[in-house]
Amino acid sequence: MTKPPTPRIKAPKSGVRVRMYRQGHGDCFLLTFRRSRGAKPFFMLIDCGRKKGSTPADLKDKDIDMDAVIEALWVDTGGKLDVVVVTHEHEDHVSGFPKAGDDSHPFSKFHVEDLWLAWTEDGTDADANRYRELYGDKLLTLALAHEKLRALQGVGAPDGVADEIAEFLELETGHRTGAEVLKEACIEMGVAPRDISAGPEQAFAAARSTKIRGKRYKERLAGLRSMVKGEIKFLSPGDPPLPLKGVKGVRVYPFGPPRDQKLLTSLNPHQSEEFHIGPFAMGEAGAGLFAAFASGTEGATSSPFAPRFVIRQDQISDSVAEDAPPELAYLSRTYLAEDDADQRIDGDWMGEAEALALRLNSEVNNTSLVLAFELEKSGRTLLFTGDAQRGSWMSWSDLSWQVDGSTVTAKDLLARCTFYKAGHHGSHNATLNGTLDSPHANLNWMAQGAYAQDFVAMVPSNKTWAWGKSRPWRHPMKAIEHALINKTKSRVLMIEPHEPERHDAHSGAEFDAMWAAFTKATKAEEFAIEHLVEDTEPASGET
Amino acid sequence: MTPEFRPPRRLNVFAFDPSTARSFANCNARTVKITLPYELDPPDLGKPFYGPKGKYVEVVDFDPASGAFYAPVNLNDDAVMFNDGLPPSPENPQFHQQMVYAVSMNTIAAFEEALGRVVQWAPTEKKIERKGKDPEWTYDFTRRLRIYPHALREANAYYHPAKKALLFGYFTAGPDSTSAPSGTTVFTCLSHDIIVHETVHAILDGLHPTFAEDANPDMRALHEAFADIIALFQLFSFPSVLEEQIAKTRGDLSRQNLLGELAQEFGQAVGRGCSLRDFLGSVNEHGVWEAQEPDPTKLRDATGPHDRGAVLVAAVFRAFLTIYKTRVGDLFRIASNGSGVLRDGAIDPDLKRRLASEAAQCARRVMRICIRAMDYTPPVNVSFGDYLRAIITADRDLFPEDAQGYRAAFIEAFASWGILPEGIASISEPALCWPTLDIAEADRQALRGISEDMSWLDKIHSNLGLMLSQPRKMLSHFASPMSIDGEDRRARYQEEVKRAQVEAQQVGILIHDRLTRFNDASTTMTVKEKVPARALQLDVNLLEVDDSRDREIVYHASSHYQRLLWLLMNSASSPRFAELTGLTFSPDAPATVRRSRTTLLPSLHVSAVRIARRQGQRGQPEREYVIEVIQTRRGYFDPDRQAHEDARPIDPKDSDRASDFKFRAGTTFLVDARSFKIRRLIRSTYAVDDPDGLTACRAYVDGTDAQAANAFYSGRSSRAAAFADLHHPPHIKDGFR
Repeated sequence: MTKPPTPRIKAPKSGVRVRMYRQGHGDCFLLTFRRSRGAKPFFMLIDCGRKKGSTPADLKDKDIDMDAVIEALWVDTGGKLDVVVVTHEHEDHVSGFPKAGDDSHPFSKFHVEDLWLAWTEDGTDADANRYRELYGDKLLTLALAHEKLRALQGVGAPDGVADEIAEFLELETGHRTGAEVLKEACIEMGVAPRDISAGPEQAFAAARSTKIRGKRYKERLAGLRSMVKGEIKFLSPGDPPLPLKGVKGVRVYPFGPPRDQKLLTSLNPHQSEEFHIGPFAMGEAGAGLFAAFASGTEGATSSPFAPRFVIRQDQISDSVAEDAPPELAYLSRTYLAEDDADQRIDGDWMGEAEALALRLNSEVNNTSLVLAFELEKSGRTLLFTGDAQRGSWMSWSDLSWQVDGSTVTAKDLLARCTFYKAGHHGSHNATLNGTLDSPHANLNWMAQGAYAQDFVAMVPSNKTWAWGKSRPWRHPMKAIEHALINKTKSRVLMIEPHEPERHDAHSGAEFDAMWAAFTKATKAEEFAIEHLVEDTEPASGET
Repeated sequence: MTPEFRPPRRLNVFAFDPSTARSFANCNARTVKITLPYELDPPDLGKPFYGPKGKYVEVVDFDPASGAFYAPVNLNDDAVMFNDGLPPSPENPQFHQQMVYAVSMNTIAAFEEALGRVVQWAPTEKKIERKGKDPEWTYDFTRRLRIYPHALREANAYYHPAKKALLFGYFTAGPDSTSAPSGTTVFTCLSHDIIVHETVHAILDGLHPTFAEDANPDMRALHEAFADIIALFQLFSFPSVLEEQIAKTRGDLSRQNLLGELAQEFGQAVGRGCSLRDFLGSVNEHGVWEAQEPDPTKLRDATGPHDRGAVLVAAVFRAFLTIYKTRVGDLFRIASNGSGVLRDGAIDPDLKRRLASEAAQCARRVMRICIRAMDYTPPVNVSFGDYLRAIITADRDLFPEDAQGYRAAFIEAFASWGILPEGIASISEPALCWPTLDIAEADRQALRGISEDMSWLDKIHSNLGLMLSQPRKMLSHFASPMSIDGEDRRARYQEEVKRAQVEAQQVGILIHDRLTRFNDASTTMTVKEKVPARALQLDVNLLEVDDSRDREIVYHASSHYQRLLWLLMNSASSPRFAELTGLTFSPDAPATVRRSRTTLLPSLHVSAVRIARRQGQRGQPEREYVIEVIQTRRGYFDPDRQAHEDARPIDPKDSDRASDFKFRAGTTFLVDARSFKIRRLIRSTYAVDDPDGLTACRAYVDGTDAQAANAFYSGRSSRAAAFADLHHPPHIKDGFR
């Protein structure tokens, strides 16, 4: 093992240095604090991942990819990370971590002291286990839908849906086909290989029968867990504020993920137990898919009609004999008529799969560990939301802590927020809109009074790549980008384009001092964009 | 066996969705009998009628989620035929097939009655890849609309414009369901409301394919609201479903508003549908249903197809109630010895029946007015205000005197809901009517400070007349060489001539085929079976041959005239005509205005030439031709880019250039079928080269594009997914829009 070099990054005089790495579309944040003793800085890494193929163009031109960025992180930190935080298990947050036993992986040589995870990863937590089980079934449903869509090869299926679902499967699991996901699920549960080779339907049934408990990038997290030298902490909202070992004057408040199942799944709350189809509340996106898959595997169909009415699909072929019953002949001649192939609908019912994929993605996003860092001296706070969406934001207004004998609420903390890591790359529903009086947390709860002078936002998005996709991802969404530009007075930092841009509305001379201070605290480098949040009282009075 | 008379086909259907477990009080009205006119699908009693697959629709019962087919019903089976179809039963998929067939055909019948012509589906588009050349798009006759009663396994049903199919879903009712018991299966294809709604989407798409575009806040809303209005009044046209509700009002005229409650109940099909009827009324704090007072500010604040559509539905319903109450006022007075107030207690059954039948007649009348108006709209970029003008003009042209106050009722209802055309100074019937040609020409001259003879219009009319009545001569005139430069362009021009010719020959061939069928039995003379297509090209008005009942003949005739008119307009259009009609022919138009590859001038798309037949006040047949012309311009979100693109050198190939959105404008011409004079001009609010129109369109498209319903994609949906998404309204609550 190579000897850890001296860290390139120096500890700030006070406060925290935030570095957003430019590995691609995804999160990788390094927070550097000053230790109360010794010159060695305290390093905390929040996530390390990106969506495959999203390297910024300027790095790509120089053949720099993920490994090189991790190498840069190694140089920056000297290879020792005091805390690694994983917000949630999506490709764009964890793909930079090694699988267990993968010693050639550039991250494997790091020293990881402590690991912080959300309570939803705790294998001893009953709620978390139940949640993961539901998740597992939904993921299998999506995987099987993807296989079915691929099998149709475009006949009677909506355009492009299979490719889009492949993207989401990759976000969830790292695999681009449903078959791979099903296969892996089976192998992991020790299901006999013949079940896998018999076809996706059988794999689905086998994997379900053994109750897989989610698969989301499990191996990456397992790999990371095995590297931990210190302890693994599972955080719940409302836990007492955490200190950073050896650092004075910083408190970390866990905000999310919510314990409330309703808010965790955000959309349709699972109301009563009886009315579920497998993991789905009835009428929910995916329920129809699951119902069709779960009962239609062994000969029987999942038809809502009595068996006497059912003609199995394979009885209708284009070679139905001349003297066949006229009903069969009718179906064969109309539905399978070559001239009318464009009118077939074999796959339209799986249009729901896209809704399911989006929903699954949102649900996992909502399991994001959300942390607020408080710099005690100045009271400034920094908010890191992972990809938390609406349900998580809604839950924060209920949070409060007892600190030094007084009550601190999430609203108090947000009012002093001068740094915001935008949720889910600035997408819809991951930064909420509202006013200071709204009952739920939102952008306008942040940076009140004097703290508004210094408000900065980082959006971990390769906007050029996301918006340039053949079906663009709205990361960041225009309305949110504009709201952030307004609220921060142009102090928005992105992965690409990565030079800070001063917009016309803030180009007047009255903003010159603000902009000078901001650029002084900010560095846009090749591998990362850095911004320093000092633990100093915000300038007061002026507007 | 030849039937002695033309027997209509009667079929039982559910009026109320059986799965929604409605109150016992309605059990008598749960089913109704639909009577389909003989000529829609003339029964051939000797033969089975599987599917049902008729002349307009074909039902194919494939349930891909279950991997199952269900055997088609045979409506000509004796046991079915003579019992008015299968008895209503949710357990039997064949009844589902019968129901979607009966309800969709009944909707088609309503449209044919109102429009006086056969209903056409949107043409089937096919992209043909050609080696070394640009791909070619072909358009062909769509013979039948496919109906899949069990295509989806979700709480949705939609018209699929690319597949020319209606897809219905079924699902298990969830705990949130308001009316169906949790855990039971709900079939959307058993909801009369939903079937009509989806069929209307398909019919309107056939009438106006561009209305499915999303270019201004009203277009999708109009599609939704129109479908909902017809769905509602189609049900109201069965007197039996109204009787219970009318009995509840116990003869109080002011309480006839309660019909709105019934209208809302119809909309409460599980999973969707109610939102369009939200503004009819609601239950107050005492648990009593109350009609909602109209609110002219609602429309201003409403965004999205459902909220805006709900305002239009409420306005039309208000007009219906006004008309109905006016018409039954005398019945109340007669039944109450002149006081107008009936005694307490149960309503007289005779009066109840009379009131219900009046209400049903009003419903049919309002529905006809709403349908006819669709021939009186601009061909693209239509707004609610345009639709009001269309309603008023269409009715006025047919019934010059508003003896029953129908139009006044519509104007009052629309105004009270804030639906008014832009730029109209006074809300009166004459102001709302689309301009006649004379008025438009007088305005044109006044605007330009000139005064000239209107006789130049005669030339246009005579050209139109010749084109319609002697299409073959007109075409051969165009076929002779013209002042078109360049080999490539001449070849394109000849191709256009050829295509027009092929369509006309198709008409001839179809008529000829019909004649050869007599050969088998005839002894006196036979029709030659093989005749060269050229010889079959008729030189008569093709829109009026063969009593216009054969949809395929009508399709090819229309299509022929569309091409012929294109040739005519490109050969003889003057700046005057352009000014008058709001179309642009100028070579100086911005480069983003789509150019013709043949003429290099701004291109014209003749999107329709069709006939409308109506019965006037005295029962006289009225005929007119409806001609629609559309122009298109490429739009860009970035105004600088737009300016740059506008200033490019003219290149007709640019029509394929990428753009952020398409801005369209156009004009509908109403042409008198006897004199061939243009009667009215219906122009879209903006011309294609109007910068204001482009700006408005950009603002709207940009706004909806930015509105995300999810964490990844745009808020806009493609034409193919237009209707599937429409019924899945996004639920944005606290997010940024």
